Amino acid sequence: MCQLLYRDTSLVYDNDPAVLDSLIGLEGLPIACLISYGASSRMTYPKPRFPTLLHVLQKIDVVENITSYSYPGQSPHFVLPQTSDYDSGNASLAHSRSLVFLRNWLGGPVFDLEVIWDRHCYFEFEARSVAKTMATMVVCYSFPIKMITRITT
Amino acid sequence: MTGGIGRAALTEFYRDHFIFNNPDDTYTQVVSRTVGPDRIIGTLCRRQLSID
Repeated sequence: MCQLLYRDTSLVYDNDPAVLDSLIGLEGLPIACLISYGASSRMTYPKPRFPTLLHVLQKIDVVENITSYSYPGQSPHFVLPQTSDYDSGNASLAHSRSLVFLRNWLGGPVFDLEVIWDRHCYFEFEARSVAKTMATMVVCYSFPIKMITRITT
Repeated sequence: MTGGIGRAALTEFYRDHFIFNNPDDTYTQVVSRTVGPDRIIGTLCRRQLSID
């Protein structure tokens, strides 16, 4: 599963691991960066022409232009919620790492989460509005809206 | 632990069990806050100004 980002447009989505090789070697295109999830199990990769982030299942050799993180487990589909191999903790971790990587090479966007959080708390505790509190929260497919507000003993 | 998963369940939780159950004379004290690239992890303490 690869995500390839051109400077002005984002595209290329493919779940064939073999595609990664051809993408790493691409020349002459204004590609900002490349992220791959669940790359093949080999240890050595050629040096990519642009910053590349690999989420892999085992540690790989250090290569210039490649940032890699390894995750315990056997399935490259651990980030896909619709599969039985989904591993929510590691999927979430990989998601955060991809965001940091993308922001670094695309130059943002950077959101001020504390402003949203403060607004959320204001509507929750001060204004006491259910609708406005909910409006500060979003639903997305892989991370359903969830709130654990209180730990009681 | 209390809370809800999904818009419907969370709305119900807020409406029926949380937002209107806080006493009036409370204030929020920040215990800790961690700001990450895509999440905030916060621990808040709601304290009552007066205890009868």
